[in-house]
Amino acid sequence: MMDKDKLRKADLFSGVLIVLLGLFIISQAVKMPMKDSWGGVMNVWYVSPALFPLFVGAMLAFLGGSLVLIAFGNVGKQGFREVIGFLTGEKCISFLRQPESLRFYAIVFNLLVFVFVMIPHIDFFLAAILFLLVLFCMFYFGDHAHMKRVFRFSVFTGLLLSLFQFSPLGSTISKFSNSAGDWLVVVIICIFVLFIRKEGMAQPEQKKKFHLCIIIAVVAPLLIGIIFKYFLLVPLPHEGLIIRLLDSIFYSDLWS
Amino acid sequence: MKRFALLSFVVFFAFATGALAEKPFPNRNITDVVVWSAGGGTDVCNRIVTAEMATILGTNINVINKTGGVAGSVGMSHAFGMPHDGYTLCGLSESNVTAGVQGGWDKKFDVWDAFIVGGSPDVISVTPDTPYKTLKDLIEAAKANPKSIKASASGAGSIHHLNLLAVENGSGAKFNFIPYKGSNDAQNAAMTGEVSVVVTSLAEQQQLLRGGKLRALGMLIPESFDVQDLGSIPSAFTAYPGLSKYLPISQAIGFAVPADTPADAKKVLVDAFNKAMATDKVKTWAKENYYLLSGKTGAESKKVFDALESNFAWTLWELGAATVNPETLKIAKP
Amino acid sequence: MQLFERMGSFFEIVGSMVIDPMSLAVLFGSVLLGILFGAMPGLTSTLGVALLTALTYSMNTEMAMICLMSIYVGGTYGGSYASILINIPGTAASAATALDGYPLACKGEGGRAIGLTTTASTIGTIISMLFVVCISPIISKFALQFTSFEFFLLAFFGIIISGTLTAPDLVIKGWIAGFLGLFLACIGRDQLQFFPRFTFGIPELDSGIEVVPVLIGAFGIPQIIEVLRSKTAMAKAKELQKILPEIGTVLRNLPAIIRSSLIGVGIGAVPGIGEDIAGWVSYGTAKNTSKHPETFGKGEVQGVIASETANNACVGGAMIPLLNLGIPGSPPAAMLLGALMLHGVTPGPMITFEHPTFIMEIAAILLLASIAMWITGMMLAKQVVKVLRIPTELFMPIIGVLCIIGSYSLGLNIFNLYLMLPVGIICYFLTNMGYPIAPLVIGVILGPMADENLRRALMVSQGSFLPVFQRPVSLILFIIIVWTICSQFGWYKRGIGKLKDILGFKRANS
Repeated sequence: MMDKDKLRKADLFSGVLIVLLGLFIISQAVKMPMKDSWGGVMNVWYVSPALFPLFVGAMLAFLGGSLVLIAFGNVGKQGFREVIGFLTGEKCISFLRQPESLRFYAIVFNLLVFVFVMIPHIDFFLAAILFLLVLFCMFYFGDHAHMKRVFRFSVFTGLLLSLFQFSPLGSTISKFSNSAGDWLVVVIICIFVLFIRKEGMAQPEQKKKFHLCIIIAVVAPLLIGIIFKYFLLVPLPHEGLIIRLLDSIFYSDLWS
Repeated sequence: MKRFALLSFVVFFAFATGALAEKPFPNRNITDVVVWSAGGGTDVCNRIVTAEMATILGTNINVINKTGGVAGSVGMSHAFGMPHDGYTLCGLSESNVTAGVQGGWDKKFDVWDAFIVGGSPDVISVTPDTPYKTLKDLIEAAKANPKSIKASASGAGSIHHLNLLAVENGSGAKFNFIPYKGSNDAQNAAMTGEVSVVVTSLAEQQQLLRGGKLRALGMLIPESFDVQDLGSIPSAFTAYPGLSKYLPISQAIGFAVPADTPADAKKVLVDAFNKAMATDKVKTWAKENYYLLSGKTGAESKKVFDALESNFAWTLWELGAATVNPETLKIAKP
Repeated sequence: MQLFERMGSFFEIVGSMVIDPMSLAVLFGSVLLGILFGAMPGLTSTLGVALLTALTYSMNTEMAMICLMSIYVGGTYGGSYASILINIPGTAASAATALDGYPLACKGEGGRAIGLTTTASTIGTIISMLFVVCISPIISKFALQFTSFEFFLLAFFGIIISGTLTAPDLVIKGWIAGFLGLFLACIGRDQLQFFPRFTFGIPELDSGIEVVPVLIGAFGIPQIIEVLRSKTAMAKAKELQKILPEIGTVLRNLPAIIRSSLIGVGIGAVPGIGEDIAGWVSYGTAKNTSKHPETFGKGEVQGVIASETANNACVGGAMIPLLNLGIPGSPPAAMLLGALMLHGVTPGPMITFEHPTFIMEIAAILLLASIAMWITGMMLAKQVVKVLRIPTELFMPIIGVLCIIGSYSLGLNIFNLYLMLPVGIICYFLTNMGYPIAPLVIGVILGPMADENLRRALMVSQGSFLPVFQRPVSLILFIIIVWTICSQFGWYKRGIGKLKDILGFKRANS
């Protein structure tokens, strides 16, 4: 959390957004059926599906407005001008370029790629291994410059993967082999490991940490995935290469 | 060393993935995707029958629940999106036929080939402190004061709501319909006295009927029905023959495979299904829980579901609760 | 006397279970599994019971019930681990525990907090078990007092309480967060008329927003981002930690424990809502009745005890309407209902005739499960705290993977993940701007209930609010709500103070 003064300035900003959201909710709610029968249920004002959203929207607009007023009372015109100045000026850019902000982008970007690109299309194990490996290597050892390089690498691979999944090229390749995406991730993981190794690992300490990273990144998903898939019988989001392999081990005639 | 390990690993699973030997269906686990939540009627029905089928087929059948969307559309889309090879079943019930007209599913229901286990017949009941002793009392009272008697059923457009509507249409009475989230809630409301009439299935109500918490007035099927401790519940058709025009609308719980599943796989499944339906375990379970077993497959089940689909779709459309015109899906009028 | 007969058969069943090594093994195994389920963010006791239902199909009924009840009890308790140690509630039930549990862990008293919750949870479960044995018919009558009006007032009360609970900055921000939650709750088909609200034509939004992805998104993701971003260490693990039950502290808090248990049993018995709300209401009551409410949220032992006792007491409470009326009192109880049907037991008013000992069996399992939970918990607590020694940079990404698979497994719905992440990122910004997150989650849980029941209540009463004052339970709820709102304002406190002056009372704190 920030300190009081900054917080009030942020309130100006968030308060306005809340008011807008409230107004949006109201604008949508008035389009809902108010009187006529819908779904065989007698409809009067108090039965209307719009009742609750209207109330919520109105309250949000009101509370957001009050927040803006409170914040305005605290920081005054001066503060208001500062907020506008901050949002448009250089300060904002330098804030966005801070090391801490950069770390924030790195985490969020990787989470986004993991959830939106990898989970739905890539074998769960491979996806989790890549995700863990990248995050571990970003933060567990190395300095800020190291993190930046890993981040750059992950942006590159993330974009490559999304290009593969969402472009016509990818879907044509997938027609020939439906685990093409999985193989791509395998290749990326290999390149990534080589990339980090090349990436000056001066002290033996770092090397040790890196090996630990690899082990955990492989063991943790295997453990989690196998428990879910074979013990709790929960199918994983996308079952590709590795899961087919595990399936053939688990259900092979060897056991019966 | 490490690179060698990696290489051998890659080679190993490249082989393993390709090397699944082709044995006759079923040579691996079957998954049954139930589109309603665990513990519900459809779920229980599927688990009972698939457990029997699994022993007959000599393979595992994993029952999973994939809920959400419009009338179970998320689970249906998932099951339909899997290879049409008989290894993925879709556990569903009659209510799923509404997914089309409610905009969650762009196909007619006959893309599925259903295996109907059965369902529990609907019963119309009142709370014990009301003066209505027979269905006639209730209907006459409702006719005298239209919309004054509160009747509960699960949500608008559900099978029990449709049954209630059919009773209204067939008898000319008008109730004040109060929707609830599910049958449990609807029955609870009757017990608390919030509503006086409740329509749910006998399976869901039997404990309350036998415990004296509710009073059954009539079965919404052409036959009367014997319930332990209560004797026979008369058919509503006896008092109001006009009902036969609109009823029965029966539950059809079971599972389905895509219609274009290979015939040999389908045949194996039908055989196993028929055998499972004949087992004592399924029969006892059905009797104890007041289910009527059906066992229809293939063309027979298609007929049942066609009728259900057209009935549900057009009723919803007339109520104004459907977003897609049934005509665009080429659903015939009932 | 019937009660003695009941007690007699109860102990007979307990005895027969204790001497059977197989039941004991299943009991301890399931409790441990349940605790693990609860402790991992994203895996809830509902999910645990749902998954195990399939696996217990081949067991006999008694063994299956031992297994499922133990999972339920263990899962409800296990949620406190993650709440206390990493500030990500393992289950919605233990979200309130995080408010005071995590600050305690930051002071290095994580082990102590876990030790206390273990004892408190056990006492809560046992008290609720007593209710099942002794007065379950009365409680199920109480459950039947709840019509739409009462449900609405109860939901409203939960929302009010959440708004006043946790505001690190301005109180108004708590309210805003609550209303944001209520807005999320509006999304989807409305339950009465099936009209799609705010779905924007996306079919996945039709069935509404599920609680679990919101819970994980709102609590888990911001914590993961924050810890990794700012390189702050999580809570500390002290070397020498007392995990002893601390009889003294427990005894001192006994009135609070008993009050929380009563709240838990009561809320559990009300159909449809369960552990999650019980924890919050109990925490709120503890805070509102405390002599030093300002210490809550900063590591107050009483807060941890209140929420953990109540959510475990809820287990027994939820079983009462399930067994006597066939109405599940909480979401996991709904799963249990399904499991019972699978085994050919239909709970309801006739159960005492059809399966005369069944209710006593459940009570016996509850008692044994709570004892097993205490033993397992005491042994686990010390080990679990060691988790904090894992470097956060390695720990948090794994938690991230767990969160993701956890929110996926309940409905097997990838869309839940698409929802969870944006909610998480928005909540990260909200947290940083001083908005409390708890009211948002409570809004999502209670919103549909408030909405649906208010409209249905008005439908039944044809637009009149009069029934609120004519029905005893709703009148009591209404008075409590008015009192809660009024006690937030200065003029009310001053007024009470003056009143006391006039009446000649000594002013306690001025």
